[in-house]
Amino acid sequence: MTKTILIVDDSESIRQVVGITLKGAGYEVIEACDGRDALSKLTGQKIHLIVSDVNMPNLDGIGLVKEVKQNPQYKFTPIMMLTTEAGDSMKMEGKAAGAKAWLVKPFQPAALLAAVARLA
Amino acid sequence: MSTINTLTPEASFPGNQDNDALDGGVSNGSCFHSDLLSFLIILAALVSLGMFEALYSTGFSQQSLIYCAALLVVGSYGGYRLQRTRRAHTGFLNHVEQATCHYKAETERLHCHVDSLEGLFTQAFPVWSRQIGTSRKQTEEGIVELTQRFSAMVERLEHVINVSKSGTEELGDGEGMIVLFSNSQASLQSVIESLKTTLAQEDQMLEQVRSLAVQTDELTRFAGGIKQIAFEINMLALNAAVEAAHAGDQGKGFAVVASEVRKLATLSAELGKRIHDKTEEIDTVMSSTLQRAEQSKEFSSEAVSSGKEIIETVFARLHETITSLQEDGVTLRSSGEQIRSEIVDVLVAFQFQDRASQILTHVEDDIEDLLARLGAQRTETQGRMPLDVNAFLMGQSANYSTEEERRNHSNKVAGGVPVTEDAPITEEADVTFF
Repeated sequence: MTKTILIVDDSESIRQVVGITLKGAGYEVIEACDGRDALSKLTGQKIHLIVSDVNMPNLDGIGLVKEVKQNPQYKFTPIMMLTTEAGDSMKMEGKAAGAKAWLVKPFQPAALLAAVARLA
Repeated sequence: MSTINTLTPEASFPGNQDNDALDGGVSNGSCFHSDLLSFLIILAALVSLGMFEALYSTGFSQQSLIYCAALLVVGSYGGYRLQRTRRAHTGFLNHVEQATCHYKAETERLHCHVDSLEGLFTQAFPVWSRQIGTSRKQTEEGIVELTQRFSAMVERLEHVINVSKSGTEELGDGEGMIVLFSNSQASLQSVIESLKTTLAQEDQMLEQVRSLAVQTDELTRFAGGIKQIAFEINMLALNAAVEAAHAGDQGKGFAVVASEVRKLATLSAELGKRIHDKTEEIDTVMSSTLQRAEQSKEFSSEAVSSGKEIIETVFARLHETITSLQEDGVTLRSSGEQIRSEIVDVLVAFQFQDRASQILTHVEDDIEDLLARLGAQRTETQGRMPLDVNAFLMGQSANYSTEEERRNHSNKVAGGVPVTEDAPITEEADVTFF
């Protein structure tokens, strides 16, 4: 069965790069430009993994994780943060919110695919 | 901002140098003491004059004259000092007035300078902010367009690779292709063998037709034998009729029998002739058929032989062509996959834009923050309080999201050498799992 991954990033070029990497590995991809947009995409369909940026307008990545964890239908959906933030304090904040993994940009496709394969 | 911070009273009051020029024993404290001394001396002179007047009216003595003279000298010196002190005081006041004017002029100039700098900041910063925003937006749009095009190229390449792969797989990839050819070749070989078997059966049939021709010869001989027997019966019946005629009336019945036997002999002869004619006719048709069958067999044999050769030739060419196509397909697929991999690498390299965009966005935000702080400083404190530089810098650093920004900031704030290109950004390949 093809697995579906929701990519959340305000940078379109990053969404393209992540999308092409995941599509090349056989995943189905849904894109959202910020946390608020991502929440609007969670409309009942099965999402196997959310890959989200941290610094975004409207609703940032940490806020998105907290909102998703409040959603009964998606609270068990794993979330991986993909961000330029590399500080331990931010990682701890993400972990406390409920994120399952933290990958720092710029990323290598192999590292992204390995993490996605482990979580999705 | 740095201009304001480095301003000191010494630097902003050039009149201090003029104060040093007043070095003639005249300063604020010494001037006061000198005035007091001059006052006492004048008082002594006036007293001595009074005493001299008193002595003059009462009679002179030598000692009193000396005291009076001394008091007079002291009084004269006091008058001289008083005059000098007044001149010095007037000069000092002039200097102070000049210095005050200079200070006021410098202060006004500095205010003008600060106002002009503030005006420059408030007008230039928004322009710089917009320029940075435009550059960031243009770069972002350019990179996004490039990314989209490269992504489309990757998708098209994947489609081509998949089509090529499925096409090759349908034909039979590797061993499968050879097996397919072998199976097809064996199928056609079995067709050839079937044709050969048919030819052999045709041969057998021809042999049977040939043997049938021999049988028709025998039938012809049989027909000749029937004719001969009928002739002899006819001759015998004729002799019997002659003998019946010689017997007279007693032979009349025998003559009738002889006549009937002759009729039968004639019929037998006609039948024999008809059998002979029909047999010859059959023999002719059979010979013709046999000849055609032999021709047909020869033609079929040649056709089977030629067909076999043609099939082998066609198969050899097809094998060669498809092998070549297969090799080309593998090469194309390999090249396509390599190009796809390189394009994906380019797309990965485009991630720099995200970092650059974030840094430029923070610079824009910082400029807006600085302008807001300048505006607040002007409206809330009328410019009397200095800008809180540390608060501004802390606000800057709180918004950073990349290591480069933090490194640049710490170096700049510490007064060190700014971060240069020899401090590369390391790629964080590891993932942290929680």
